[in-house]
Amino acid sequence: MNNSFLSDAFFSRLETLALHLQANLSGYYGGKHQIKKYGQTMEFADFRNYELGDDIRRIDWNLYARLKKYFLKLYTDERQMHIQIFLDCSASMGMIPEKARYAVSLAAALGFLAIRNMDKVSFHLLKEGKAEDPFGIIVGKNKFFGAIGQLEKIKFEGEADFGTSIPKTQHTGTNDGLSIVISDFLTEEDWKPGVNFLLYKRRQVLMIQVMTKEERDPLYSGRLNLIDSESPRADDFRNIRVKISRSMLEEYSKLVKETIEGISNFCASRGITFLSFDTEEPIEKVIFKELLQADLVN
Amino acid sequence: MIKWLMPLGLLGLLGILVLILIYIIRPKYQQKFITSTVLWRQLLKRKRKKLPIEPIRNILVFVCQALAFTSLALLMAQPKLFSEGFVNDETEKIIIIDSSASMLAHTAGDPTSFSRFDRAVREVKAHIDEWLMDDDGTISIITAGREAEYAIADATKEEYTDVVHTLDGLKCSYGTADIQGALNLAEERLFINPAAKIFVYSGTDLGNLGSAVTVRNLANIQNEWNIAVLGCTVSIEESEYVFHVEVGAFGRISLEKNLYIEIKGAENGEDKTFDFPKLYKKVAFDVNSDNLDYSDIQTITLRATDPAIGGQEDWYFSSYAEASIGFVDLEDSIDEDNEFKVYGGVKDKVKIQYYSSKPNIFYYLSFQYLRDPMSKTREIQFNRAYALSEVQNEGHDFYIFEHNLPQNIQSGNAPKDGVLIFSDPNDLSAYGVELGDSVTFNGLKYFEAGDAHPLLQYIDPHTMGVTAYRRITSYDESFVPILFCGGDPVMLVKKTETERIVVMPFSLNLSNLSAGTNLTKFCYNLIQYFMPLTLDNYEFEADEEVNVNCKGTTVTMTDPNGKADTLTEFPATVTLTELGTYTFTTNFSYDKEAEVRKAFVHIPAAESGLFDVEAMNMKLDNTEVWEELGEDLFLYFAIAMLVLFTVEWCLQFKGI
Repeated sequence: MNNSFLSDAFFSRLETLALHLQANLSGYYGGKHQIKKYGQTMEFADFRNYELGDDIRRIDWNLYARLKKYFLKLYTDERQMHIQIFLDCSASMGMIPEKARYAVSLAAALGFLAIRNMDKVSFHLLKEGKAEDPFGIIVGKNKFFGAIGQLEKIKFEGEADFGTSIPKTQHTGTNDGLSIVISDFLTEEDWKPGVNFLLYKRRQVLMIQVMTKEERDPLYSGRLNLIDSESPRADDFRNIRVKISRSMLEEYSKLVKETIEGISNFCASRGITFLSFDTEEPIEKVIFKELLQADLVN
Repeated sequence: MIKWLMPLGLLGLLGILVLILIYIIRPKYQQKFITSTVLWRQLLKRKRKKLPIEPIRNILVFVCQALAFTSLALLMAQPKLFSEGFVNDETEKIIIIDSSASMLAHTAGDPTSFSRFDRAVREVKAHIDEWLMDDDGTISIITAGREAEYAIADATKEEYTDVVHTLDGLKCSYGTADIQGALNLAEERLFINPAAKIFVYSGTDLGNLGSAVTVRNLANIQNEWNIAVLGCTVSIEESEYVFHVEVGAFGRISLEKNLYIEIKGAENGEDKTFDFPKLYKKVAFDVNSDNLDYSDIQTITLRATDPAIGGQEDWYFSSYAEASIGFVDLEDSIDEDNEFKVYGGVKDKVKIQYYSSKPNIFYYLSFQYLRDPMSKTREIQFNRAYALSEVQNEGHDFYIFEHNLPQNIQSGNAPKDGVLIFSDPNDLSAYGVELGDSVTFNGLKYFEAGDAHPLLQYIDPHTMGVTAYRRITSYDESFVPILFCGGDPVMLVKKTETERIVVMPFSLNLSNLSAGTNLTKFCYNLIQYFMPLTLDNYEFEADEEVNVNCKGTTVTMTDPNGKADTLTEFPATVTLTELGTYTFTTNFSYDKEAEVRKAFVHIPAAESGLFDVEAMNMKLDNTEVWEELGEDLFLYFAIAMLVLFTVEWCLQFKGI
């Protein structure tokens, strides 16, 4: 797969952005993400009364001069986060090369934003009931670009079952960062247990749906034997014969909207950010507009 | 008998049509690879929930294929739906024997010779050994009489004696033959066994009936000829009975014969009957010339006053009991048509007595008007009793009492031998009818109809009306109200074995009945209803169905052989099967002499013609050849189609 998106120019444009994560995460020491906890950075956060045992070097003497009371100056803390990117590698994602490139590019872009922000990144490739982690935890641009080079060569095949594969993921920390799930969510399997697992791990979750225009508004009609890309045989139950009329196409579009709404409602009820993208939408627009609007980058 | 497997070719073509139809209606699906069918499947599930008929439509092709599959399987199985099985047996013989009266013909001049019918039976018997024993076949015998029917069916050699007994017991009828019906029966058999052979024994030239039928014409132009009295009509010309006799000669003959007429029981109004001597007239027949149908039919006119035949000018008569017409010294082929008897010369007398306390001429005029049109069959006598002393209590068929009744009648001492008609009576309590007050109207009040009744035939009750009538307050259950006025019954009828009464509680003077034809029609209906003719005609063909009516209680029918049968429900329908004179005796419950009427039964005139030609519009052919070819070809066709179907199904299930 030759991904035209993943060029130097593409990544250089991303240099101006950074991931904006929730402040209630704990993360690891050494990152750039400000969190709610007070730490040793130079950025003032608050005052509090001096208590016995506190470091007297942190007493604000100017304030004492005016108020004759001891107050400590508190500073914000910055942490390193672990960004997990779960990429749906089923056949449905790879059948249309454009869709696969789009998904990989999104994953790479988000990974880059994390790396650039001194965060740790791991790519989890979901296929056949497993979550492969071929690159391990990536820190630093060199390792990242090496991984991206491999990412472009992955094969999209078989089925993906989020419900069972995400909980099997290695290195799932707790409350330590963002989990991004990139998929078309066109699956028979129940993906919700996987998402619930991430929430259980108190991770911030971002779900990105990638669909092509044809998947949203099919142009085909008439009597068709629809072959599912994930079906192994011709007589698989997923392959269906259907006479597609104009009214059916209208109903299908309606159903697509309802499905997206359903996912969106599910995510909203759990504090998950959900974004649905069309592959015809320029990826820069997605990152610089949609993610900004969703307050995921700044 | 079902024969939908025949012809097989048609069924095969239908099978092809079914296949074509299936492949036409069978949807063609193009393959389309898409990323996921999840949403499409969800959509179809939703649609199925909305439209429960969808699954049925989806299996329509499957159902059609299953039907075609079943048809082909049946075609291969060749199920026998015939009740007796489909056979191709040349040893089956179907014998049709014409048993019409013409088959009675024997050699002219030799009454002891065998008739055509006898010869037919003998010929069949002569073949039994060959057909049953040698060929080991079966025989069915159909007799074509008035109706075609099997005498014996599918007899095998084990039933040899039954066949012989059946043939010995066969009798020739005196009527016509239903050859067409017999051929239809044989044709049904031919559907089961197209190779069966049909033999028709008849004296009539039936033409070519097809390859399956062999016609044996038993007519013998050399030895057979017939002279017959075919019929007779009687007319009254200048007050004299004239007999128009139709006679015919059939065969190669040229001769002269004496035709006689003998009239018995003649009456000239003097209450005395006498018999005329036989009168003779020579009739010359010549059918030797270019007469293709060998017949010479003539109409001979005979009258008793004709001196040329021995009659006398003063031999007039107003009625006669019997006239016999026939040929003298005739030894032809059919003896039964040499004499003809004519009855109907005695008219039914209808005697009416009219008494009124305030007489009018309405009834008189009405019956008088009916005399002429009914004169052929009835003699109407209308007697008016001008005074009480002239009122007779017996001897009439109708007793009309108008207005105030004679004392004895009022007290219930009415005549028993006739119909009582009470017109505007003053008191009928002795007869079970109570009369109340008078109802009067300023103008005519028209009647309303009750249930349809023979007495009101040809009459529209709504055209009859009165200005006054006596209200009938109650009446015996045996009376039937047939006319109403303002809801009150204004005409009651009673007809039982002992009493026949008509009650009209209004005066003809205060009604419009006599102004038009309604009263005349009513009087006509009175005669027809209470005094019907026993028979409508007095000469019938053998096997003819006849309606018998009764003006009394029962009719005893005696056939020419003296066998009597009593009829009690009328009109009765009887079939006259014997030749000769039938006697119908009407018996009365009251003291009245039984009335005797006679009718003559003769063989149908057409049967006297010995050499008729009657081409049947029918062809019965043996068709065993195509059957074998067609069966094999279509069997293979069905097998091939079945295999193709199976392969297709397998491929479909495997999803290839």
